Amino acid sequence: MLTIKNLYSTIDSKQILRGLNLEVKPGEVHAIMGPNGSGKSTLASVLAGREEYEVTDGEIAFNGKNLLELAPEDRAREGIFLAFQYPVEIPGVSNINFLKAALNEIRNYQGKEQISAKDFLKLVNEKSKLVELDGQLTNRSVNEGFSGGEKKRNEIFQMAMLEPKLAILDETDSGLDIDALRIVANGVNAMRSPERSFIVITHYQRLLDYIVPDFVHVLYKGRIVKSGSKELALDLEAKGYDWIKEEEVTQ
Amino acid sequence: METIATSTKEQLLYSLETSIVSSIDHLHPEISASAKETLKALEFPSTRQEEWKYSRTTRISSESWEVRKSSATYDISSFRIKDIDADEIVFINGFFCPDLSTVRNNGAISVLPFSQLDGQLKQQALNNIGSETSRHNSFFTALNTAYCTDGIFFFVQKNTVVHRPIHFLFLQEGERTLAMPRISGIVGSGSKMHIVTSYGSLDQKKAWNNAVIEITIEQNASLTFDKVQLEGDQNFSIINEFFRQHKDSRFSISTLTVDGGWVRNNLNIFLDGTHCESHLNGFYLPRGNQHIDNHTLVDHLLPHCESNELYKGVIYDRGKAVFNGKVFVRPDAQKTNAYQNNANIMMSDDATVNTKPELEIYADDVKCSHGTTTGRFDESALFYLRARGLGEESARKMLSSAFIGEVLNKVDNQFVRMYVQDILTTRGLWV
Ligand SMILES: Nc1ncnc2c1ncn2[C@@H]1O[C@H](COP(=O)(O)OP(=O)(O)OP(=O)(O)O)[C@@H](O)[C@H]1O
Ligand SMILES: [Mg+2]
Repeated sequence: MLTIKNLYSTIDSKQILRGLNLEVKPGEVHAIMGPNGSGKSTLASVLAGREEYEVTDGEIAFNGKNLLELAPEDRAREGIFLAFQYPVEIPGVSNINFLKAALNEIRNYQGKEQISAKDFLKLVNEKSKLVELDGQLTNRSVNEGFSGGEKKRNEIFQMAMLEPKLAILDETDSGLDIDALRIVANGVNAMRSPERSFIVITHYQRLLDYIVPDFVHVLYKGRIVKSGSKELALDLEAKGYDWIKEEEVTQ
Repeated sequence: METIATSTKEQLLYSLETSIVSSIDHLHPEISASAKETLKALEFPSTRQEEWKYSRTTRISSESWEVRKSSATYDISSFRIKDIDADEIVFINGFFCPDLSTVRNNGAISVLPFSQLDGQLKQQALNNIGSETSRHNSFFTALNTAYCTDGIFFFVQKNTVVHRPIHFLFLQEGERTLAMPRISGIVGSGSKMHIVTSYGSLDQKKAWNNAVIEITIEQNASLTFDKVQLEGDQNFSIINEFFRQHKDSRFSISTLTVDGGWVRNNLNIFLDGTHCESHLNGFYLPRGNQHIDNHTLVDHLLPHCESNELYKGVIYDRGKAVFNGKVFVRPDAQKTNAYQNNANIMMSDDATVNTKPELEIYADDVKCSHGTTTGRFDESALFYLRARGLGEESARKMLSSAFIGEVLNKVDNQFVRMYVQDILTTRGLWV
């Protein structure tokens, strides 16, 4: 589904990603962990198409298409969804109107007809229940005045509405209380399917207790330096990153 | 240079002198005579004057204009506001058109053309006209006084709630017509009313509109005023507005400039009583080569008043916007709260905006603030929307709708809001 080969990326001429490789197959859940500043959010931004990040080398294929040639909106329409680490507040843009417009543009791209107002509302009801998002919030301006946790829940609500093929969750667990963490994780699990893949960026094993990954990767200094099964996350939780950093130095 | 400017002014005045008798003459010929004296002394405004620095009037002064009653019949339905149930007063080319208007006079409210004023109403109109504008020696206001094409006076008795809004439509047709309509009115003490004014072109031909609106808001009265500007790319529009507020009155005005080739709004508000409240909102969206200039004055004359001003602009293509916001706090006006904000979004590299707040504060115990911002859209907001599948165009449209939506949402009357929203939508400016 997603193949990243030898990816190099800079921002403001600062080298962040340095030869990153990753292969995600349909239905898989990949967890990406790694120290602060190692490039996890950069990877997410590059995948979503943020223009400030320049790709200087490497390639990304998504379902056979060259992702790097696509505008951010076309990536979303092809089925990529990024749940932001820091969701943006957009005063005056109604959450629900924006989502309806986005959904319809995606459907249009995919050759499907526009969703009726009635079906849309049904979908909103169903999906906001899934993440137990207060109905009031769906009607407000995008993320405006939302608490940290509410913003994260809103991201997952939007993901559920848009039903992507590949969802990238960038630290969706940070800022969530224990109940919210379970709710969000259940929401994600409810969406797992043999066709849908996830890249879950997190610092904590805790989330992976709920969303059990098929693979765990460690991103360090812009490369994936270690990959393993879900047990790797437990090792990291216990030992931290120092041993990996040392391994890197000795290599 | 000097001689050309003088001769253009004189040519204009000469042609007006020979073609029109000011409709104010019916009230008292002295008023227009004195305005003519004023005009003799004043220069035709040019960019040499601070007040006109950014708005070139040479395109007006170099043209020859004609005052002409319309004989054509036009369908004006697109200028009527759906479902609003307003009394409509239609002017075409600056002349009141009774056949197209619905004026329902009753004991509580009188609405009459200047030419039909009599007795006490005539006296009231005379006072209103004399009192407001004689204090302002501006060229274009004096020009309207001297050569007013047609005027309406309205008077609301005290303690009256006027349920039906009054909608004044100022339309123009024909090549190079000059319209100089005037509305003069008094909202009696304790009364409440809603006025809508809209401006438009019937045939997109070159036209010049020089209107004067002067309204006195008496003690404890409340006036909501919406102004919808829809003129064509060939229009020159100068709108001179004067609102005088007395004790405990409330006034709210929204200036929604959707379209207009060359627009200059001179909005003057005088807080001439204690405990007045005044709200000024506006948006402007110059596109193509449009030039939209808003000059506002909020004059705090007495203590304990509050004014709140918010103007927002989205400037496209080679559009130009000018905002000049004067706030005066006079020595007597202690305990004044005056806020002003002007925000602009530039949609192209060729767009320009000149914004200048001018606060002059002569009292010490006051709270005043102002702010201006000019910039582009927040890139991270744009990216957020696009990352959810919205195309760049729709994402920008959504952000600009939200931006001016803050102003539009302050318009109380839902039918006016819908009317403007629909027009913005057909212009591709609203989602
Ligand atoms: N706009 C920017 N300009 C300059 N440097 C940037 C910019 N964005 C990110 N960086 C730098 O790129 C590096 C990688 O940042 P990134 O956000 O990808 O890290 P991360 O792995 O997501 O970290 P965290 O775990 O703290 O979220 C950091 O050193 C960061 O300071
Ligand atoms: Mg990060």
